[in-house]
Amino acid sequence: MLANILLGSIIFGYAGFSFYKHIQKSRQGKCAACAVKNACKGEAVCTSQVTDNK
Amino acid sequence: MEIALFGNPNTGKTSLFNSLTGSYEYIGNWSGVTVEKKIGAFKQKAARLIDLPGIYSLNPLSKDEGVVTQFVLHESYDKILNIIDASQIERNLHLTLQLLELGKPIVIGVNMVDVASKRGIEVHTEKLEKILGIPVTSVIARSGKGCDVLAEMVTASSNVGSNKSLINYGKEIEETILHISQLVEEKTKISSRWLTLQLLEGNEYVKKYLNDLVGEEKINLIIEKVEQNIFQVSAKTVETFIYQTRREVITSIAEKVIVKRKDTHPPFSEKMDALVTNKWLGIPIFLSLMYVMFMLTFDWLGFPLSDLLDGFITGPLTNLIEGLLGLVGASKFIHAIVLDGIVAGVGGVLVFVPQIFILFFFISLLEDSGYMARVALVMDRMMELVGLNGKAFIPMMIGFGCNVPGVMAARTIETPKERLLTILLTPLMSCSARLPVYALFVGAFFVEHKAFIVLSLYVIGIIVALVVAKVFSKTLLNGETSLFVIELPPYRLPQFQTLWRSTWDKGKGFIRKAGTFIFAGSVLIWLLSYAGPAGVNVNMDDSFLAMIGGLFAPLFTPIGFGSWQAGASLLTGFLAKEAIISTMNIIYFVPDESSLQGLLATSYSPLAAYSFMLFILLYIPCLATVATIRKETASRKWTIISIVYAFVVAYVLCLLVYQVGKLLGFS
Repeated sequence: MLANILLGSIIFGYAGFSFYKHIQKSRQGKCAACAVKNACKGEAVCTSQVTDNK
Repeated sequence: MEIALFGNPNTGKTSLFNSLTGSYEYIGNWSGVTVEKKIGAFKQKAARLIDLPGIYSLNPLSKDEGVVTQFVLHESYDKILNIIDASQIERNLHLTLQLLELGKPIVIGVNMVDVASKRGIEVHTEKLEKILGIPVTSVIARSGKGCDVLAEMVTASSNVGSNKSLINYGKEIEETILHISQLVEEKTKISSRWLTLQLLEGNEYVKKYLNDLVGEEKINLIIEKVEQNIFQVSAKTVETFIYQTRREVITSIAEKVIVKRKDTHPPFSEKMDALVTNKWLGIPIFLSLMYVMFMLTFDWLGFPLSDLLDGFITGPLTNLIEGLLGLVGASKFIHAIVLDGIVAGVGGVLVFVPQIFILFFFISLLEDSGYMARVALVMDRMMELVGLNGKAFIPMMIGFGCNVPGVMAARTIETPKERLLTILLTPLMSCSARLPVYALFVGAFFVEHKAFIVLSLYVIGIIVALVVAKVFSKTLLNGETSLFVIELPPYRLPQFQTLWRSTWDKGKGFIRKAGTFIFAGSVLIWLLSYAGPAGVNVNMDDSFLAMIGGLFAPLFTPIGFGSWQAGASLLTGFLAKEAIISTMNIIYFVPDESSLQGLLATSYSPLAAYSFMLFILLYIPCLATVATIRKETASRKWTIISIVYAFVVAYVLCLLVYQVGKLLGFS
């Protein structure tokens, strides 16, 4: 029973989260995934991808 | 320390960026791959490199070039790394001279010296260094040769710009420079020499910047005065005067630093171009290459691999999951959601990963070898007939991978009319997410002609785009057309590592989406098919999903697929096109891909199957594409038009295909 509840909540929790995230991201277009969106100075100078060397 | 990377389009900036920073940005062998700036950290150094879109001049023509001017005006950076193409020194120096006018410390990397040498061109970097008064070194960014020296040079070079005055623009302009420098003194850190010259060349961004600093009236007066004076002295516009003054200096520099050998044969590129861009052979060659690509994707290589993967998912993997669920004592409900929902939905999409990767590998191969730029040239003739030009074909080709970057790539197009038109047309290109649907249906209905059927869909996508372009440019969109100038990059043998990165970059999104959104969608679809107004665990025909799909079914009856199953899958397809396949897998829950194909054969006729594929190709851009169109056009009206026209075109075309097909006796 416990395993069922656990599995069920993992599946539905993850599904709900992914669904929400996909819709949010899709609706906002590229900027949603942007690492520096808060420091953005407007579309013309979009700094959309920050790739740091790891 | 921030270092900004400037250069003409297709001079290998992104290659150099990757080589210097160790990151994996997308590289394409054509102009305009970088439409935004990217930042990366230097290997082992406390400096950051900013990769900017390629430009010919700091005076912008298109939106992506504007990114660079805005960057110069509004962002801070310490040094400039200017990369120039060894084979095209003269043209590249136009930008270099403008950069020198900025007065910032500059280091120059002369790239692709190997390619230039093959063409019989040698560049004396030491002489160039002496003339310009800044450090210059040669590199081969693709192989990484010389990149370490360049990195060392740019991070260790002095923090003072070159003070060598290379060009004297004559009394009128030099005096104006002095005048403006007095006006903006202590108001800006940007070189007043550069600001003045850009202003006089007609750079709108700079004009606005100076208007804000000094006042519009003053600036207009200054421009007027210089224009009059220059016209009196030389009978030229200021813009032409500045351009010609620069060109004279460039010619004299080029004479000193370039040595051309005469003993070289006509390069391989030229011989090849005569064939692949031939007026009559160009398009047949392109179509043949596409055909071979689809044969490999669907027939020779892709299908066997997908079958193997299908066997693994439906066999050992399902058994393993079933065993584990039994072990933890999972209920019937959990069993059903995991196996009939998630494994069917996600697994059904993952099965097509090999085919997607094979297709992407070949698209990357065509891009990196330099062939795709030729395709744009070949298509130019056809595109001109419909009010566009070959440049618009580049975003469309990027759209073959995914429509979202395709729509974004339309930024490289200069005129607003052509940009909007390209944005509207790109979703008609068959993106990879539609591929699984084709793979499933051609496997079920057109076993003998898989590649041909898929090729026909891609070609229909292009033809519809051309027709729609013609209609739009005649009716809704009028405006100036731009000239098409494309730089044909040299052919090169792609490196496996670059190809793999490029393939992976394009394909990883597909896998990621399967693990996230397709997972979520599968759970939701399964739930909707499991529950109905009568309660849970109902017969699927009485489920909520059947009800929702049934609402649309009558609409699709005239075009051959009026079942609730088709209606429901098309609805989920708006969120992501891959979801069509996972929905079908869940609806027709069957153990493996071949049984699904068998089952489909009972619900669709081959004609209806073709009509269904055609409908999926055209009917609506996916949610992410619609959002990108909204953002790029900044217009609700055009976003709605992009959805509505696609749906109408899809419906009318499918109606024609299905009804005429039926009349002709196909079934």
